[in-house]
Amino acid sequence: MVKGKSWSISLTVVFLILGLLLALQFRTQQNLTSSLEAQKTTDLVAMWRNLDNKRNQLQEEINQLQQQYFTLKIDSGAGNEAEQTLEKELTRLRMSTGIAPVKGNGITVTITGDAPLMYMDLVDLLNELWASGAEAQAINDIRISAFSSIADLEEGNRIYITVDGHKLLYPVVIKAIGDPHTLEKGLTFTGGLIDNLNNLYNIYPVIRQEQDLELPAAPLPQWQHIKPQPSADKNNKTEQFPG
Amino acid sequence: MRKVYLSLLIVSLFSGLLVSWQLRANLIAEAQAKQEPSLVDIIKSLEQEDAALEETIAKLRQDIDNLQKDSSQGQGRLAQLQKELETLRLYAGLVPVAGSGITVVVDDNNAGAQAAQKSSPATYRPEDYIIHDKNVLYLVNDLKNAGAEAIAINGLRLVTTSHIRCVGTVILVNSTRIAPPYEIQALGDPEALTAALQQSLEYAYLKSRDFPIKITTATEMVLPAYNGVFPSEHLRLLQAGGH
Repeated sequence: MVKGKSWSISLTVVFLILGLLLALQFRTQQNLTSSLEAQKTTDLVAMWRNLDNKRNQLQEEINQLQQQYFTLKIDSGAGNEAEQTLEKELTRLRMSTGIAPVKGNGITVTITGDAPLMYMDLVDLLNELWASGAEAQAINDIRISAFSSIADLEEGNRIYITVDGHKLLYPVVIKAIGDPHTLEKGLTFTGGLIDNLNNLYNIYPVIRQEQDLELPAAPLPQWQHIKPQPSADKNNKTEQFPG
Repeated sequence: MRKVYLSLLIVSLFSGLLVSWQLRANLIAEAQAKQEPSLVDIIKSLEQEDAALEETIAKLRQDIDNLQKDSSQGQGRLAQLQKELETLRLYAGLVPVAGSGITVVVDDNNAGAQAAQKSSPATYRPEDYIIHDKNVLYLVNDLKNAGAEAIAINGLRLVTTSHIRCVGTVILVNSTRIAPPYEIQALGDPEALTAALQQSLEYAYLKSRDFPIKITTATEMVLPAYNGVFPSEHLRLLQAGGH
């Protein structure tokens, strides 16, 4: 009985060890069969070919993508350039139409209150300054646009000169941006406008060359009766961008 | 005792299995040793290379995607800028415009000149019978005061920097020579423009001096675009709040 018992204990131990060994061996076996080194040379060569093919395809795809990338990059560069050109043109037109405030060198023409100034004299002065190359003008800090109206207004026993409906108080100061020397010459040549004002009307405007004059913006025109002349081309565009 | 034999048998079987497996493992290991190590290395490095290439492709695709998004945004911005520019060009007078308005035709007083020359050649002054730049300038200003939204003289569109002057006996508009009769077209409310002009000083003056002046209204007329430049050599944008 005792003998039988020791046998069974030994056997159990042996089985345990065997089982362990088997499990270990099994795992080693699995690793071996799935490892590259366990493959047949022909299979390895096939794999190599496959990988090589794949690499070539990937390389080709990269070439194509790179080309696409550079084309896009150049296009976006051109887009930026077009945008900059547009921005520049917009700024230029905003300044020239008067809807943006501007600064620059130029002259001021100052007329004091004791002068018998009439609104036509201001029309003449502005016109003469435009003709002399003025790029922007303002009277008493009212910016002159293509639509500015200069008139007079009788109030009680006083007559005011108005610019776009605003009454002018003295001194009346015209600011004109442009080449200061040319602007001044345009007014002061013999037989010129200032001569006429002096001799005919006893108006003695004071002209000063200035640096960095600042002119405010004019309001946007309020148009009620006009629209762009439609052309076949434009029609399509307005359909694309309504409003 | 039979049980013991059975157990022993099983143990022996397993042991045999183990030994044979081990043998195979050894054989495989031997085969590995014989296997071209370079082939395995090549495959491994190819695998690495392919993985790197795949990563590059993923990154390139991402970059391209980003660029395409940027470019479509840029195009949206470009369209916006173009629309703004269109509006500004309209304000600036760079686009032909259509609308209701009036045409004022004024001419030199040729009949009066001939009559005066015959009746009193001694006091005859030809300049009293021709239209001067000032006459046109004041008529234009009166039209602006009456609310004209766009003006052209003999087909020359007036813009911000336009000027009307004479050199000798020739009138220049936008530095372009024009000849009588002078045809001033103004867009706006035809009735209001006519009424205001008929009450203006310049109209009254020209009428009193027997200059032929005629106003006609139109429900639809077209003014051409300004074809000149806006001088902007000295202009700089004044940034809001910048002093």
